[in-house]
Amino acid sequence: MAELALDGTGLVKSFGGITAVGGVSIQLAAGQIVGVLGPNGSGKTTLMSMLAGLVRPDRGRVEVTGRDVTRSAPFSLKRRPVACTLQNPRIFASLTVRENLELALYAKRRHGPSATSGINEILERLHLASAESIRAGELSGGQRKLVDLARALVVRPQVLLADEPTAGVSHAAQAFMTEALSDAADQGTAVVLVSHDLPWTFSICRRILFLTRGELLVEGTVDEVRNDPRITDAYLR
Amino acid sequence: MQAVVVGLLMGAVYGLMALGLALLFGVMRTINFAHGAMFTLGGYAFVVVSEATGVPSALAVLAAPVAAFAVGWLVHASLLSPRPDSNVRYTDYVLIVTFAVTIVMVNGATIVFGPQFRRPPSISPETVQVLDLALGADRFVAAATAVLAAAALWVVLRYTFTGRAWRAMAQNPIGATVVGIDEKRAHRSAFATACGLAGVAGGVLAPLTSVFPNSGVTPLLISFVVLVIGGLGSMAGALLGGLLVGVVTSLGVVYVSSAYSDIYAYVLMLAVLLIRPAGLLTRATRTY
Repeated sequence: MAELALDGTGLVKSFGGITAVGGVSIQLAAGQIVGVLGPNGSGKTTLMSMLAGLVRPDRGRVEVTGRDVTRSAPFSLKRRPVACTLQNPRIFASLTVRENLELALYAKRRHGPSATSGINEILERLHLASAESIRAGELSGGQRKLVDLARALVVRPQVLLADEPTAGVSHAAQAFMTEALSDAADQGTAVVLVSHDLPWTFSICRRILFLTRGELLVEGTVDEVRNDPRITDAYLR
Repeated sequence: MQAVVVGLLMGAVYGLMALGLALLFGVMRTINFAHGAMFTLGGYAFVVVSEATGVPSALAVLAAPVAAFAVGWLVHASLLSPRPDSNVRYTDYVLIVTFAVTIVMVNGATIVFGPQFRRPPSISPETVQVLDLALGADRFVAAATAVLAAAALWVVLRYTFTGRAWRAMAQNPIGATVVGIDEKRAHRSAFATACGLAGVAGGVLAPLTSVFPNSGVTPLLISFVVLVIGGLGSMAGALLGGLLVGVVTSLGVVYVSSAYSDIYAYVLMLAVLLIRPAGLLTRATRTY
């Protein structure tokens, strides 16, 4: 079997006695886009944070391209080919859009002409080229989301974890994102999308994991998940 | 007029000293209590190198920032890198540890150098005539060095990766971690640089004020005042605050009484706290 880009096995995390994620596994091969869905409080963001290395799991194991990164400190992200975007875009308000991207590349020790052309390419792709000299703090909420995604994609990660990338984003910007994410997947990036936007997630993902109360309720293709009555139950309960 | 000139010259060095604290507060959200001890260390490094090697003072003074930077780096690597396991917040932990470092450094200096005052040779022994007042050129050297060091810091912050990593860490620590900035390394370089700035201040002021084990206490207290006046974490505020404290202290000494020379800075701080509690140059900030 081909080496998995991302392999999270039996991940468990509790906060103060409350189990946020209770033994969820997720596997992705290179170039796959997988959606993680579920109602509020189902453990999607906690799962994502464990995969990103921002939260250390109580139990379970995370491997990125075959290397165990479960116990690595978050800042060793630079040694992992992983990038992530968080629910609230954590961009640097006093740096320009371009400087935000440069910083991400520098942190991953990537400089030089190819890095510059990578920045130009991703800015064009996400329609941010005209805003490249603007301080990120002056952008609208939707544009900040685009910068956040651009900053994650510019390092050409092998795994991209995106938490609610389309929340509060216009339809046009959503289309730019879809295109950029599909391109990244075509180039071999494994993408995990956490979202509440069901139609968008169904349109871009091949496989879906549906969580509820920290457990995996359903895993399957888009059609399997879409037609599963337990999903409706979980949202209405 | 002369009082204003003297105040500005002194204020530039106060500003430099506070600049280190402002940098550290921005990046690590905490205070380094050993900042004053690093000032003293800079002074001693200048004295020792000058006496031991006999090199010109303008060269020997370079030992001041180097020693303070190196000791700052070591303190961070050995004492501040391991995070406390208990429920102590890291920012509080840094306060306590750096306070302990101060005690060790001050007592260490007393054992090694004794309690007496030490004074390195003048960096520039000439005098400069300002209107009808003859001022030692060392004062101008100190102020010019402070301005240069502040400018160098600005260049680092604006154009280098390390500087941008500091700014990123100051604005959005989680975002900085997400893009892969190593928090510990960014903290360590900022901590050592802040100590280096205190060392520069201690070095250039040593020929004017002498060095003794506790010589960093007053500059440390004044830099806290400067920091509050300028606005916590604001670099430009630290410089402006330093100049204001220098001028106000100098005017107070000349026109009121030299007996209260340590009071004027605090009076200024109280006035600023009443009028602009967040400090002169802090802007309303938004966090995303």
